[in-house]
Amino acid sequence: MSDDDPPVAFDGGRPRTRKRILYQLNDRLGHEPGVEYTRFDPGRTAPTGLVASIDSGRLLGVEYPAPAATLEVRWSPRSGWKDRFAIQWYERADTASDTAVDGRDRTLPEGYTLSCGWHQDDHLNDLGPAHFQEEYPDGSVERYGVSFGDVNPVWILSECLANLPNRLRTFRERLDE
Amino acid sequence: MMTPDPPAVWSDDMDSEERVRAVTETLTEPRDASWAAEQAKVDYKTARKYLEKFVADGRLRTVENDRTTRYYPNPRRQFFAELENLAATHTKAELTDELIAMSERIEAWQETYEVADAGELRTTLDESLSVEKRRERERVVDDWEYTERVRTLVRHAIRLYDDLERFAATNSPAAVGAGGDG
Repeated sequence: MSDDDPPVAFDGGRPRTRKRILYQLNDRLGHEPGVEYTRFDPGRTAPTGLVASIDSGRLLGVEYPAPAATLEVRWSPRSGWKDRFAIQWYERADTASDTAVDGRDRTLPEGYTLSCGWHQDDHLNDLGPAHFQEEYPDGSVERYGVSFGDVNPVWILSECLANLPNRLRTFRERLDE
Repeated sequence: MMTPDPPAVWSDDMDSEERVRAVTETLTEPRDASWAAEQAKVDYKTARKYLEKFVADGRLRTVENDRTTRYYPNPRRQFFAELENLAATHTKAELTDELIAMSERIEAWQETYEVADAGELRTTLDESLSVEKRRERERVVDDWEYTERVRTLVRHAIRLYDDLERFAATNSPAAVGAGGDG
């Protein structure tokens, strides 16, 4: 094998890079208060994503109407392009409470569980490559352009975790309207 | 809506070298020491020191442009490191189970999309599909290609086990005779 392979021939998104990213994201989640456990999806050998079980109050640092949630992370790195990823928050139906603990009386519609998250891919490019999306009870989706800058995957996940309390508060306010 | 200060990224139990290593092992394009320093939250000199160390030990390679050195993972090292990792973290039986599971995953995609391989599925990505359907198929194409590549590595790792067993059997102290070095 020659020593002067052009840079484009390196891994750049192939198995080891994708797997290493997910393992790093898994470690990052493991250091976040409120992440109860994580698992690789479909498994630790050829993972394409991560699923984290969340104690909402501990993660968000505030009392929160839905005490349990799931964070799903999917990451598909690409060489020379923006990585494709999704960091999605799903609240769990069986534990969602009807009344916010701050005394404000609110109910989420029957059968609806709150779902939102950050996505980056090649679509919806008017908003830019990345957006935050909110999924509403009527099936509609609102998307807001987001820019992460030239940073590594663990940085992106960390920014999202830092912004999650604000995003959820704003989304719930909109749901309330 | 992004926070003005950089978020907490690396855990306290990671030292500078580990952070620089972490930043470089997930690269998809060559990067310079300034970028690595910022990402690893170390100063430039520290980043350079570790980057050069990683070049010296074969972990990274370099490319020069406009008098800037940029670093990227050595693809051969990545290949062998992943092979070694698979063998170190799985028994042979576990690897065999994984091989079957991956093959089943691939067969399911073949059936669902009625295509022979990921390349064929990629050709179906066009404007006739909704954004959602295109996104879903793109994900499957990514996952399929990735799963096939991991499967190749798993096959290699299984063969490694066989070879290591054979090697150990013919090179054990008992086989070699007195004073075998094991």
